[in-house]
Amino acid sequence: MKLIPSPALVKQSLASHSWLGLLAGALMYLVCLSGTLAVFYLEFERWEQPQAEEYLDYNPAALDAAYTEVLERDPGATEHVYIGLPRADMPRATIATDNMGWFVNRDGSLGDPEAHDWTHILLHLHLYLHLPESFGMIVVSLLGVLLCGLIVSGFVAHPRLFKDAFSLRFRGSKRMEQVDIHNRLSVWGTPFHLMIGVTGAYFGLAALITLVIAKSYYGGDTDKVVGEIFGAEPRLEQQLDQPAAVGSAIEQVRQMAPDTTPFYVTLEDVETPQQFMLVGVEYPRRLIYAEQYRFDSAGNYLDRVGFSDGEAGKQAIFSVYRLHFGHFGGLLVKVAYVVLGLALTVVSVSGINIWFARRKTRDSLNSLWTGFVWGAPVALAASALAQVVLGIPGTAVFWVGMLIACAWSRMLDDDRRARRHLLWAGALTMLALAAGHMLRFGADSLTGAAVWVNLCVVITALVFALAALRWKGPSATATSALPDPA
Amino acid sequence: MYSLLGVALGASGVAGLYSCWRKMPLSGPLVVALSWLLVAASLWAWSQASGVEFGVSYALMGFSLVAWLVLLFNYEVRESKQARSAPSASVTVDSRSWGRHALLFVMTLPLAGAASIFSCVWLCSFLPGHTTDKMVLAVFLVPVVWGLAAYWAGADPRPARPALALLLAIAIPALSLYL
Repeated sequence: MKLIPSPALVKQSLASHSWLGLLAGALMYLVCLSGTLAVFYLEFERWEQPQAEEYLDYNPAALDAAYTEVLERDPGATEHVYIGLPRADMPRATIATDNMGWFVNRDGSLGDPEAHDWTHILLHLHLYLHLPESFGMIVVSLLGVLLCGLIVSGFVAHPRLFKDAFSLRFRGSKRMEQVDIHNRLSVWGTPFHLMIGVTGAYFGLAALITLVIAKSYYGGDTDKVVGEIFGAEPRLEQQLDQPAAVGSAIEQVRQMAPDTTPFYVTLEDVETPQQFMLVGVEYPRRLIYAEQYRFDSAGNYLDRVGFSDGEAGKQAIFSVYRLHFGHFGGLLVKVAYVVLGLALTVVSVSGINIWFARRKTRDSLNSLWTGFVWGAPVALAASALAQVVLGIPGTAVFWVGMLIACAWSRMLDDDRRARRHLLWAGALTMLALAAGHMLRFGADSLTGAAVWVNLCVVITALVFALAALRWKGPSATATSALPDPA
Repeated sequence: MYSLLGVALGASGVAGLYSCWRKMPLSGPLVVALSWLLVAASLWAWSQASGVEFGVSYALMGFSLVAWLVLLFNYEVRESKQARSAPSASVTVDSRSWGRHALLFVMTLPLAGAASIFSCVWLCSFLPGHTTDKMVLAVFLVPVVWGLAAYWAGADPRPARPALALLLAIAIPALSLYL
């Protein structure tokens, strides 16, 4: 028995695949591009403020002073205090209320305020597409759903997918070139793409699904669902005579789980009789984001939530974050995620390119798409330059940059020229970004993560410049009539 | 040691698949099966080296990257002599097709979404096991089932069929939950 779909099914599946691809379209490209960069968001945070003190060894008792001071400095109401502890990929301590945050120096005193505005812009683009968060999160999660649909329809629509899996042919027709790139990157990247689709969809859809789960299991009580999966809050009634014993809690965790790394403390219901602490601990060789050890305000151990050894579902759901962002296994995994993420970005662009090539007609959409694709890296670099170096709000710069890129490409109406111009613009903006960073931060820009980020920015600029030189191509008039979207 | 074994097994698996699918002397269904077995064995080797969770992740990432590496060193810069054709099904977007696109939009997003959420949560509730596991399984199944439903909605030449099925997939669990 052969499992080959009929030609009619192939045609219908391809129609469905194309339709889902167009629906995801440009938004998928932005989410993939920003997600690829977001793998290194911790390094970007360090690059944005390279002057902050970095250290790995610290005295937990010093954090008690930081906690007291932060509550004095922020008179506004806060339900939480978040303390980030130094660890290998973020060797800095931070402390933040719901309103503001600071670095913590090694002696427990507060350092500069935290300000990773550009990293926040990048993450906001990836998580919400710069839309209002509650709506944007759902839109982005729907892209995860569509990715799952595209994977399935892609397999059914391409019966030769496996037989052609090692066949990559350039200099054929434009469409066949794009088809080969699209199919080869897709088929071999399937495990990663499926994982990204499912975990990406989880972030925004969990709240929706929880409504039905709550109705099914707990008569509509969503708090009970959250408590069942993420641990119900302890019921405490305490008299708060002393500030929370943060240092003591960390010391106890170090003794209880010596092979693990505490990397955050969260204080819940701050300054109320119900106040308690969560110490988040990273387990070696585990994908769970953290195991949480809970303490009352005086530092008495309460319990462990059980993400490390509880029900399989609890462990699985707390593994989503590290798996989605590639934050496990160190630098090599991050680099692999960038390669795999970049491939998914190319897949999303080449899918639309194939649609353009099939149309056999050319209109303003072609040139707008070229501007959108090649304008996005320029706009991201420009937003970083504006925000980090010049202190100008980067979100506006990003979208104005995208508009200019699209408008310029539309005006030229020559995809090759527009692409070349945007590549040059990207190269120059990135070089200006690295130079501006060095001018602003001086020697600090050549230390820690900052030097690596700056080096990568310069290398990317050179790659863009080389690509611009290589793709000089035929004259504008010769190409402008051809459907050559990107 | 196990890491190296994982790399070797994964690379051998990809090499075997390459040999078969490029019609080299060493090919045939047996070689394909053996190649997939080698790839599966690389999951075991990586799990021995780094634990199951990291190991499976490393093996799958390595599989994709090795295959792309093989592609990178084997791309053809000239048009293949054999006739090249790709299945084609262009989606037209014009004023006459807006109605169909609107219908597909409703079917692939709200309808397929509601159907997948209701049916996954409902069906998982009948499974044996701990409540947490059933709830989390539903959460992870929803995007996959939703994607499948969206694909069906777009692929079926008679849209009434998936529409009716999706409505039933909403109605039956909803009646069971809310009545």
